[in-house]
Order: sequence, then structure tokens, then C-alpha cells
Amino acid sequence: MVKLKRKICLGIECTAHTFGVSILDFDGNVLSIVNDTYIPETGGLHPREVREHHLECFDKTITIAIKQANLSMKDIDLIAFSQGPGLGPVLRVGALIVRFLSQELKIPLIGVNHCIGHIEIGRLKCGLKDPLTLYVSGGNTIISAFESESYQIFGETLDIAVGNFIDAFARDAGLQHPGGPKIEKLAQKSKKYIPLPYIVKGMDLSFSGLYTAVKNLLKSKDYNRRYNLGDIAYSLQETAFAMLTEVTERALAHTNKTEVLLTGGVAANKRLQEMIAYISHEHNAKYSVVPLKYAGDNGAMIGWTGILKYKEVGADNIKDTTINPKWRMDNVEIPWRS
Amino acid sequence: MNNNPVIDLDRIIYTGAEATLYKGKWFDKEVLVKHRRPKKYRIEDLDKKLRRTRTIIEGKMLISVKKCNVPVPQVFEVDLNNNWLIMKYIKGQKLKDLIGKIDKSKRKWYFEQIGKYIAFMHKNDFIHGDLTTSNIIITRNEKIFFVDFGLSTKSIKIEDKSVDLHLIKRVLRSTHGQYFEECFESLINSYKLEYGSKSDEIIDRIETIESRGRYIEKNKRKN
Repeated sequence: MVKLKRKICLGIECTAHTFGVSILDFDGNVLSIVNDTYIPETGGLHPREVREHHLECFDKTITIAIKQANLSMKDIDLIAFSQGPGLGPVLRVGALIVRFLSQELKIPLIGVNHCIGHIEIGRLKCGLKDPLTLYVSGGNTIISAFESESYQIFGETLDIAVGNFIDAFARDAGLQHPGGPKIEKLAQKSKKYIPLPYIVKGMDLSFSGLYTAVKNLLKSKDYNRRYNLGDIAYSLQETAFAMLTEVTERALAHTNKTEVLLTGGVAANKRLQEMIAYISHEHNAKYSVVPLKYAGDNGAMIGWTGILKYKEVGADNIKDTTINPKWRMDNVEIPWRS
Repeated sequence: MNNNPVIDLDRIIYTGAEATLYKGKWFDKEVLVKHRRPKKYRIEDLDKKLRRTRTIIEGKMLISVKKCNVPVPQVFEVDLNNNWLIMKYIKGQKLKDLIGKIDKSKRKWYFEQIGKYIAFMHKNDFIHGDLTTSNIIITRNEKIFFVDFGLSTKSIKIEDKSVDLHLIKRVLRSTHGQYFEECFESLINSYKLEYGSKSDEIIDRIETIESRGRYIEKNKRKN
């Protein structure tokens, strides 16, 4: 008997600091997942430097991923890539690489929305049907749920993303990028709350005023006298995460969903997990956080979303694979769920 | 937990995200008691401050906007020991649950009324702060009531009034997509009619606020 060959997808994530590659089969089994993340020595992410980094590491990263999956390039049936949103120069590099591979090796190509990738990998890995999602990362702060044929945005930041805010503050405090995990560690040592601006508008949030306030605390003469960096880190987390939790709870009550999904890089934070789990229980909703290796940007989320889309509508024409740095997720059609 | 001598709590009638609503008796009146529950996920300092200020704001605002002919429940008492707001009991259902069950002309009528009332608020510089279809109650004899003023503010700024309209616009689009255009059009038309020519700037600003959102394509951006 001839064994049907399983179909394989190569997923490539290239929107920001992570060049992520993953090999997975069409049933959602992840065969390998390899990330190469750019870490600046000082300062934040400069799009040009990130681009250089990705250009240098892409072939090695793809080769390792294929090797780890015990496959070769000719086993690949589909290439999925992140078409947006993200940093323009970085997206362009990603598109360049995948278009080359697709045309050279005659493999169908499909572009997917990065934000939807986060939700879809969460649904797959946590076994969820229809969750309310809190997606928090360096570039995004979105509360979303599936309604009327697409992933609607119920709340989002009106200015900067929560991860961006925490990283930027950490940088001002002299910590190296990424600052989130370091802030979390520092916060665990303190119990001293300094009142900070708390800004919620309906289901939307604003972090820029909070950022200014914590930055001013660093400059104050009371710094390292009345309070230290740990106290600021603690107050910052308590305020920002309470805001996120409040709007998530409000969206949960509004949409009546019975599942809550926490995803994105900031989802790794234990304190945020604790808060979101708490409100989920209060509303009798199932709480899930995406497993750590799928929480930050990765190729598997892109590959899986590509597979879902490919099964419904087939591959993209090469001329439809132009990048879209400002692509909103509520504009994307979701044929696999309608 | 009840240490208020003039009130009897009868039963819970609704549990929202922020507050629990009880039916009760205040002296001999039938009332609704809105209790902002302690939120254990946030630290006590922050929790106390938020619940107290929002209860005060909501009480004050309900009284203020009622004077501008906006239909809101009458406030009887603001009990800060318990973070209770004691109001007239209004029986009805959320607009959110009703919107799909009524015909098009009725929807039009409701949203014209709503637009008019929002204009009443804004003309007097009151900003609701959380305009959603869950925060508008319709009674059995088709009366409209605005509730949930916990995030409201007083402001003369065009920006704040526009954000208010932007919030209801987005809720209509995300939750009631199929009725979005007809409902929002009725709302805006009657808002304009009631507010007068000064409303143009407020309505124009909605688009600017939307274009500020993350990931709006460049060519749709203003300026």
C-alpha cells in the first residue's frame, strides 16, 4: 500500500527583531522551530540594523530548521511568510527571501497577517475554539475576538504598545534590551506602590502618559532615596497590567466568550498571567496562555496560519505578496472560520 | 456586609465586569444598588482608589446630565463606605440584545434618539467615556436610559467629544456589523441636527482619531 505523503509547510516570521523559521505538517505538528533574534548592544531596535541581522542569518536559520525536521528543501510543499504588520525594511527582507525561494524551487507561496498568526497558533496549541484574545507584545496591544467573519478589535492602545513602553523604560533605567524580563525580576522584589496615571477609555488604553510618569520618577531627586528601581518596576507593572486586565474583563463581559487566550511576548510575564487567569475564573471562562516558545514571534504561527488559509483559498499570486507594514487584523478575511 | 441602615438588599440581578447590581429597598422605594466589587487581581491601594473615584464620578455625573434632559436613572444616595450607588430601579434590556430583534425603522428611531441625547451631553460638555450598546437600556415602553458613567468626564475639548463618538462607532462596527451603517448614520444625523454647526469639527475629528490608530494605511492618514 502506498503511504500518502504528508504535506509540509515552511513558515517564516520576519516582522521585527526575530527571524523565525518553522517546519510543520498540514495537521499542525511542529517538526522544528528555530529563532534568531537580534539583540542590540545599546538602544532599541533600529530597522536597518535588524534588516542586516536577518540578511546575515536567514540561510543558516532555514538550513538548521530543515535539518532538525529531518527533511530537505525538496520536501517543502508550501512557504508561508509574514506579510505585515511590522517594520518596513524588515518585512521587505522577508518578502525578498521567500519570493526567491518560491520562484527558484517552484513552491507555492502564501502571505499571512502576523497578528492573526499569534491567535491561530494559540488556538492550535491550547486547543481553543473561539477565544477572546489579549495580544500583548513590543509592537501590539490588542483585545480581539472573532465576530461577523473577522477578528474584530474590541480594544487597543491609543498610542504605544505595552511591551514597547516597558522596554523603553527599561532602557532609560540602563537595562539592556529586551527589558521586560528584567523589569519583571526587579518588580518581584518590591511591594511599594507609587501612584501612577491609570488611563482606560472604554476598552482602549493609553500608555504614553504612564511612560512619561515613570521616566520622570527616574529623574526625580527622590530616586534611590525614597524609592528605588524595583519600586518603580513594581508600580509600573501593577498599573499597566491592571489596565490590561480591566479592559480584557470588560471585553469578556461584552462578548460573552467562554475562552480567554493570552499571547504575545509580554504573555511570558507571570504577574500578567496571574491577573488574566483571575478574571477568567471569575467569569467562568477557560484561561490559556500560549506555551512560551510560541508566545513570542516565531515561524510556526506563520506556517500554521498559512496552512489554514492555503487549504481554503490556495496560494497567493506572486504579485499579491507585497508587504503591508500597517495591515490591520480586522481587515483580513478569515475563510477558514466562516 | 450591609452596614447601611436604610437599605435592604434583595437579590443580585446582574453581574457585570466591574460591578454587581442588586435590587433592593431604600426606605420604602424599590431601588437598584450598584456595587463596585473589590478586584483582587489588582493591589489594594489602586483598587480602593479606582472604585471610590469612579463611584463618586458616576453619582455626580448622573445628577448633572439629568439636568440636561439626558434620560438616566435618578440617584438616591452615594454610599462611599460600601462603594454603592443607589439609584431608581429601571426594568429593561440592553440595546445590545435588542438591536437584532427590532425592525429597521425602529432601529432608526432609537439611534436618532441616542444621537440626540449624546448631543445634549456634549453641548453641556459632559463626556460619557464608555458609550457602548451594553450601556444603553431600553424599557418595555421603549424609553431609553443611559447608564455606566464611571469613566465619564467634563470637558470642552473637541477631541474628547470625538473619542466618545468613536467609541460607539467602533462598538457598532465590531459587535453589530450588519446594522453598523444604518445605525451610525441615524445617530450622526440627529447628533448634527441637535448640536448645530459646531458639531462639524467634532464629527470630522472622528476620522482623524481613527487614522491615528495603529496600522492604518498611509494613504488613509490625514495630514
